[in-house]
This record gives sequence, structure tokens and C-alpha cells, in this order.
Amino acid sequence: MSLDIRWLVPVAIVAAAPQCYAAKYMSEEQARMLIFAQADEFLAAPVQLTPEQMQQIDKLSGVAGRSPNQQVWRAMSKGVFVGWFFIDQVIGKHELITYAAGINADGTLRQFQIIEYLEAYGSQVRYTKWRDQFVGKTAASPLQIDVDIGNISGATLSCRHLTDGIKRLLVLQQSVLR
Amino acid sequence: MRPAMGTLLHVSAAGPDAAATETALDDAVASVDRVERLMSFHAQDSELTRLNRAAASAPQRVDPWTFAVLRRARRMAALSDGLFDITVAPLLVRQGLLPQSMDAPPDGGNWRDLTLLPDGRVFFERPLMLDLGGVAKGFAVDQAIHALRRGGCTEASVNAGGDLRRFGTRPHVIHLRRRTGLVPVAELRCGAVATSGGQDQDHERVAQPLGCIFDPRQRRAWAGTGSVMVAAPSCVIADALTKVAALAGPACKPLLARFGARALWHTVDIANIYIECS
Repeated sequence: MSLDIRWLVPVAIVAAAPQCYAAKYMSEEQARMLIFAQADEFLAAPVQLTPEQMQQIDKLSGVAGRSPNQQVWRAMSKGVFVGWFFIDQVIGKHELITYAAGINADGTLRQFQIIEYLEAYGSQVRYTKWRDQFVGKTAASPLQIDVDIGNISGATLSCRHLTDGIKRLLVLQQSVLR
Repeated sequence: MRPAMGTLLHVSAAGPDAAATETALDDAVASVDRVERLMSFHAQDSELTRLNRAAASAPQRVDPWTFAVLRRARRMAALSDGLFDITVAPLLVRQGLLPQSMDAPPDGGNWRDLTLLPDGRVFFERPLMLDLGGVAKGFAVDQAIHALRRGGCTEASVNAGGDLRRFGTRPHVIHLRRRTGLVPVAELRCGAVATSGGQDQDHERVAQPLGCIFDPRQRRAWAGTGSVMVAAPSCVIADALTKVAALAGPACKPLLARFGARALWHTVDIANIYIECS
């Protein structure tokens, strides 16, 4: 007998005006636990990209990076390296979406979680079914809406920008974290 | 889908063996019918009605299922310090919230007057009138789920008017009913969900509220607005905890955690919508 439920609503919100609210769905720690359940240690390994690395990643991923600084942790389980944990942000429609992503040691995407979503519409990108499409993707995957990633109508921009963000992280890992 | 327990019962299941699944579905529906036969407050010939008439005079032997529900209800009453109480029926009858099926005993009795004897018999220390409306439906859903699991189903869902339990691997999206339409609030793969709401918030409710909640402390129907959804490993616990979670609010989080349960409170006032989850 067990319970497996995930709220699709923020853990605490006060929504005033009709449709405008900021929603924090989980903390970074909760995202770590959801993505790397077996990890017992996260070693900070922040990356500062050189202009050349920035250019290369932009070119390979087809996505322009927003900052040379990338928050990265090495996830460890009983002293063994299991993957990289990233906190990253992309633009949704008008506002930034904060998300966490895990990349396995072999360079495949483990999972990602939305941490904070500030838009009134489009938070369907949190659905497991949509996020599960990314599991196992690599830097070589197309990662394009309507090619290997399904779109969510009403959340098109969030879908596209998150897909771009994941693609860029996969390329970044291949380029500088190997 | 068919009517049962004063609401609509919806059972669905899938398994490797179509014939076995078919049998399991029949067993599941039969389990719900059995709970209704035993524990209906309204039926004159239910075991509960017999208990209400006779258990203050002499200990009564009851079906193991009825005993199991009474045991859970009593434990919930003890742990919630009486916020959940199956002995408030006389007040409900007097306030017209339950039909008058027998002469209601004077109020003043509470869950402490319900004695469950070790040999499976039930005794009332003073005249009581029990109503299992707050737990029996959840228990029926659990029994239906057990039947489907026994029958080899790999994916199943039982929903009795908002008391829902499922197992399997596919996530099931639970919706919040709002004036503007259905809003998805949770993904449930395995476990149970039950919902209770205030009477006056018909348009701002989560899923299907189970009717009114009675507040044993205030001795009247709960005056709160909004609704509460409780998720728990079993439906009988989710069902019972919705009443506690509605009356106590987020302060009851430790009690919920004790049962491995989580809740979503959805309250509304003039200007704001508040949501809090555990």
C-alpha cells in the first residue's frame, strides 16, 4: 500500500488578481532529491565559460547562452560519481522559468523539474508526460518541438524555450564537463 | 459506471487476462454493494441500523468489515481528539442533515462511548447513533481495489463520487472544479484521494465534495469556505482525514504525516485564492 502523488499546483500561493501569480513549486533540494534520488552528496562545480566556449556551445546547440556562469553540482552516491545537476533559467513568454536538470555520467538526460514558473499560462510544462519525453536525450538528439518533443498548445513558448535550455545544457556538458 | 452509495460508482481496470479482469470488475462492484448493505445509515435492514437500535442494550456481533471500519473510525477519533467523530448523527438528524430513520438518542454521547470488544462484538456505553458516511465509502473503494488487485489487474481505478483510489503506472490527473472549468491540481499514480468542501462554495470546489462536514466542536455544519483534498495510501484514511483537514486546517499536518497522507487546502475569500499543500 503506497501513495504516489505529485501536486501540479504550487505548494503555497496567494493569488490576488485574476490570473497573475508567481509560483515556486519546489526548492532546489527537493529538485535534487527528485532527480538524483540515490545521491547522498552534491559537490558544487560551477562553470565559468570562456567567450570561446560560449561561442562553441551557442553554435553546437543553436541556442544563445544568457550567461557565462552556470550552476553545476556533481551528484555522488556513496563516493561514486553518478551525474551532473544543473540549476538553469530560461525565458518562458515574458518571465524567467527556473528549472533543475540532471545529466547522467554517460551524457544522457536523466530528468528535469520546474522549480519556479512565473507566467500565468503554460505551466503544463510541469506534467510528467511532457517532461518524460526528454529522458535519455543526448547532445546529438534533435530536441526540437514537433520533431522529437511534442508541443503543448497554450504553452508553446515555454515548451520551446525549455527544450532549447535542455539542449544547451547537454551540449555544455559534452563540451566542458567530460 | 452505475449508481451506488448515493453517488456514481466508476470502476475501470486493465490486466493481461481479459476474462480474469472481467471477473475482478464484478468482484469489485460486489464489494461496494456489500459495504453498502452492511453500513448504510438509510437502509432499515443494514447492519449499522441494527447496531444503532440494539448495541446500547447488549454487545452485538458484526461482520468483520463493519468491525474494521469501526476500529479505524475510533482510532481516527482518538488521534484527532474528536474532530472526526462517527457519533454526531443525532445532531445531524435534528438539524435536518440526515433523515430521521429511528428515534435519535439524546446527544451528549461521543466516540469514547463506542466500545469494540476483543471478540469482534460492539457495545455502546450509552445510546448512540452511528453514521459511517465519512468512512464507509472510502472503505468500499479500498475493498474494490483489493478485489481488482487479487484478480490480477495491473492498472485500476475506482471512483465513488470523488473518493478515488487507483494503482498502476500511468499518472492520473486530478482536477479542481472552478467556475472557469477544470484545473489540474495533482498527478496520482498510486494511492487514494478524497475531497470535502464547504456547502456554500459550490463553484469553488475540488473534484466532487462529499457533502457537508459537521464540526463536532461547534455542533453545527462547518462554516469554512473552500475545500480540502487529502491523498493517502488508502481511501478509508483519505476519506476520514478530509474532515479533520477541513476543520483543523494546515495545523493538522503532523497527523496527516502519521498516516502517510498529504493535503491540499484551497480556500477563497473576497479577493484572494489561497492554496497550501503538505
